[in-house]
Amino acid sequence: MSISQAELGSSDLSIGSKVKALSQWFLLASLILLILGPIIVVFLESFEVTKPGSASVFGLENWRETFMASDLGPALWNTMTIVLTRGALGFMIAIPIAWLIARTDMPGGHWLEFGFWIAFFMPSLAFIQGWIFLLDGQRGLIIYLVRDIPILGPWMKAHIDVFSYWGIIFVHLMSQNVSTLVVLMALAFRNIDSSLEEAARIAGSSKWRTLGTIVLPLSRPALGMMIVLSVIRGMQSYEVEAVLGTPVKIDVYSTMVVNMLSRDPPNVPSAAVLSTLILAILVPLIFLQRWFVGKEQYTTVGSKMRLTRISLGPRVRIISCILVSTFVAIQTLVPFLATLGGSFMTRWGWFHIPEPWTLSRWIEVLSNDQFIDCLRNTLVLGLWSAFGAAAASFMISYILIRSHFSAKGSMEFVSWLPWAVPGVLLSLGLVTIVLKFPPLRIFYGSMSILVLSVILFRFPLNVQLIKSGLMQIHPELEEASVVCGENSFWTQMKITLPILMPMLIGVGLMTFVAAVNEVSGVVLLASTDMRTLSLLSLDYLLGTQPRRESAAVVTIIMLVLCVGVALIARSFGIRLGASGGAGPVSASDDTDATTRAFRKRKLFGAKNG
Amino acid sequence: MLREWEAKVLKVDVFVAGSAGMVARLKPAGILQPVKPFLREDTLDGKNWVGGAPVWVDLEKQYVMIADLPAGVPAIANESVDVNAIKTWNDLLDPKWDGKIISLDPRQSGQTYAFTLFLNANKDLGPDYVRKFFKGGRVVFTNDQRQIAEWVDSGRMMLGFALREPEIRSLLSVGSKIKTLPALMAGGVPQTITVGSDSALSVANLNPLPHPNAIRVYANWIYSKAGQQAMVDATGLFSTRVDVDTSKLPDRVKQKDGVKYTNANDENLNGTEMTKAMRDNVTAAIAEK
Repeated sequence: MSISQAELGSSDLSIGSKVKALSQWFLLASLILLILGPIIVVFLESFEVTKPGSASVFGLENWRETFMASDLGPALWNTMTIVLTRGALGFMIAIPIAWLIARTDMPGGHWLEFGFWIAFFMPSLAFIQGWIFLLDGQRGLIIYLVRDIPILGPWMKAHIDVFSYWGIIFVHLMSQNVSTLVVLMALAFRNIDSSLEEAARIAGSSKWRTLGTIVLPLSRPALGMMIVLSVIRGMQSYEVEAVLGTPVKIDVYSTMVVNMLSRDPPNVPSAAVLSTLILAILVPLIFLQRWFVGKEQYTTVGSKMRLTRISLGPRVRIISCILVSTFVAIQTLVPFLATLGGSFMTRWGWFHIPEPWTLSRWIEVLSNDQFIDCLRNTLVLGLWSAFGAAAASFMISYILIRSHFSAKGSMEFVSWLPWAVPGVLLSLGLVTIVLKFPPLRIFYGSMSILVLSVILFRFPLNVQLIKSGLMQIHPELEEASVVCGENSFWTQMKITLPILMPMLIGVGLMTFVAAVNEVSGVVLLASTDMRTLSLLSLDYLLGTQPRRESAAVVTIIMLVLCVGVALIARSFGIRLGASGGAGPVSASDDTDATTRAFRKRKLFGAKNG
Repeated sequence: MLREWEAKVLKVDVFVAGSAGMVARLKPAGILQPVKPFLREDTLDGKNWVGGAPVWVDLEKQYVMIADLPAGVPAIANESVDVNAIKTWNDLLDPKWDGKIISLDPRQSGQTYAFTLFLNANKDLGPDYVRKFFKGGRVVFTNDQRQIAEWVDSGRMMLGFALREPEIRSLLSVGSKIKTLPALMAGGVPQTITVGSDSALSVANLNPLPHPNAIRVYANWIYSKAGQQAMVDATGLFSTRVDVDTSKLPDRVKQKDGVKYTNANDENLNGTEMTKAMRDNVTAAIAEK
């Protein structure tokens, strides 16, 4: 190589680095504008004390009023205890299940994992209605069936009621709390090299001790993210507490915020004050998570990675399979049957009337003029959001893990922020920005703003998921590809993306499901001709003539849509638990990807001399 | 809507909504224009309306017209409750009902809001009554109308305050044995409210309007005999148009002689200050031990 060539190469490198750095700064600026902008709007709202019809005035009156509210203290206490209790119990249940599914030879593990995905797809209202139907202290089916059994009947009548503190915890555990954790943890647990467990076993460690000393510590990036996820999402959980808690005076932070926004006129400033409080809690949590993950190496997917499943032994295999199957069956069947049954009922839960069953709700929904438009909008929103979320999250995660970008810390911090405020407030902030700046008004009421809002709301989870996946992939795989002559872009396309594909598909699916079920994030942004199925369902629930049964029809259709997309994803060979293979990431995947890069180099010859 | 208006992207022709939002927030912001010029003479003709004139929500009698004014049912009761023993509004303050009354939060819009505004402004009952009624959380709040109906039906709660007619009708249609309370005595007279929103209509203050002729057609149709009959049949709410057949409606939604009805949609009741006073009073009452 001549000197001039070397100099040219150096100059190219320098220009390339500058372009890369510029694009990274541009990305950060865009994130700040899109995420921080609406949050700042919400924050400023908390200081607005303007009287209707007069000029804008700012002050601390809203803060003083909110802190003086007598119900704030109990609500924050309830929030904290519920979040911690459901979080602790959720992890205790989810960790062993995820380990059994991802790391052992438990029979039917893939199908069971798919069952957790189904539970993840179900809307909260289905779980709530299902468990009210079974465990309502006055009319619940289980209470009704055991009423005449001596001792048990009176005891259950006196102590079992879904409308209670433990009822709230139970419904959380049986709904998306455990299923989300299992789904996310199984994805993380799979990215661990079996040789590490085998070494522990050879050194005399038991299976469960290996889980505690090898698998969990190696999953710290994912676990750290999930703990923050659990706390933040727990704080924002609304439906369960609103339906089961409010009537028995268990108010939480989120029900307070929604009540403030539901007032006439909406008390946006006080809701903004409470949201700012949550932001203050989130910030230390982000730093705690970074401390928890630390600077240690979590690379577990390298060129020599193997995934073999731990043998549980014949008896434990069957017992664990029965236990997990029972859990999955209860978790999925109760809400599904309750919703399906409700959609065919004259009045939800009223079996004792002369004509309890009817097809009229299905006819009403399917013949609704808006239905086809809503279905089409939902599909478009779901698909665009899924692709957009996977692409955007991958880009950000890659910069966070692989680049030398100097503002990585700020980028990660900003990526957490969409969870700092409730969806409806973030949505309000977004609407305000779009309406305040005339050039942005063309996006108002359009599909693009809906897609953007769905991507933003899922951003923290998606980025952290892909980030934890990337942390587990050894850079040697990409280095091998570069050594073989591929450039950075094609290395990502041929090495990193295929290895991460299960995670990306998972992110896409989760975003699709979120887009289908999203209400709070889109309700302020959707115009009358841009309605989605979730908003149609809301119309049925809150209309002049509330029709919960018709809403159940829409819910079933949304559920079928989500499961259908998951099945189509599987049929394209995407390993989503039920693939029959060794899980999303297997040794063969990695070796094949690296080998393909090597073969390609051999086939086309060395590109750089 | 206010933000759309400020950004000049509002595309609404007509508003059909509760009067609180329209007269307390949209009208002061200048978003409404008079609907009266869009209405034909025969629509406004007094002989078509109970009381000899159409009912207007706003003080100027030209911005928001309303035609659905059913009598509000103060409360529903479980079948075990002797409703004949509850004759006055003060009977609802009996300690035996503490923790046994369920309702929506009156600080949110809806019928509970309308009833509480009426109670708070009523010279025979007033803020003191509201304070006692909601004191220390003696009323259980929910966000769900149906939960009010179901809990009263099952006996978990004894009284459901200010439930809307469609939910009452829906529950009774499947054979529930809940009872409804008639207008209750205050100051020696039975009193309750009339409250509607399904045909309270106003026009956006846009120039030019997106579809002015469509507004004319819709507004004159909804207040015509055919439009009001369709509204009555669909919602089960009472119309003040005299030529509409309301014979199939239950007595509880019809206005009766000898009962004092307060129009809860009236701007006099829904003004910003009145609303704030009621909300502050309820908040203070709930905080009381």
